[in-house]
Amino acid sequence: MERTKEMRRFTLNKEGKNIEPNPNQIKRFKDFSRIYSDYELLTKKRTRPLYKDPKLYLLFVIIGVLVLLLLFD
Amino acid sequence: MNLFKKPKSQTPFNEVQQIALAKADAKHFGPLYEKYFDTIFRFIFKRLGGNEAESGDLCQQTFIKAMANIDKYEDRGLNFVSWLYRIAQNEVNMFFRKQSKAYTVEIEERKFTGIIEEAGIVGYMTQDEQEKLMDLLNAMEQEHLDLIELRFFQELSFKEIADIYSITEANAKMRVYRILEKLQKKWNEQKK
Repeated sequence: MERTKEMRRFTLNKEGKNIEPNPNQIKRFKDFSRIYSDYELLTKKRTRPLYKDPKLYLLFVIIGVLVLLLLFD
Repeated sequence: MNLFKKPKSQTPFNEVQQIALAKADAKHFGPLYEKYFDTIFRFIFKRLGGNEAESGDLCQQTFIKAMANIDKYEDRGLNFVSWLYRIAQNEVNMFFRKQSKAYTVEIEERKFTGIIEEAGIVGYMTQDEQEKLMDLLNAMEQEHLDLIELRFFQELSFKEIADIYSITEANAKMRVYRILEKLQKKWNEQKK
């Protein structure tokens, strides 16, 4: 069997350091509103209709005109 | 009866109901996040050997993925927390794979001693011998190391490991002990 790529190496913690997060470290990262807004940004579909976005609307009109010009050229 | 005692207004947390609500609308994921954040953060933090910033990022990614995929979660004997462990496990492994060189994870001596005892390696070990055994451990397949890590460094039960891998508890136990047997065999060969 082919050996998988080494992803991590274990070393012995000789100083007796406790590898457990303390309550402050946990508190610092615990924020549901932040992850909820990130989730919304990642998943929310475009709600603004095309005709209400003048820039995008204009872009599509230009693309359409160019296509028509190329077709009838 | 104590008339000044405030009545308990808190309703018990109903996980099944909360999951159903979160499936309908992600904003209801909050109570699940509050309940399991500490456990998942601790799990990732230990897997990364105490890297706080990366643990925070990976924990966030784990919960975003959980929110996005909660529709796929079905309680068929699989605890919700085990499902979260599974996502976190994949996130951490993905993080390890992205690194250009092997990521170093510090482990506590007490936990390493646990492996030595379970592997049936008897007798006093010098520091040099401990390092040699650690090299043998590091030379094992990454999938085997995952199991060792979950059992001895994360101190998860065989039931929790079984849930993460979708296998039976007996199978999880058997896999862990086979790896330990392998380690013991390699150790004995090296000592000869």
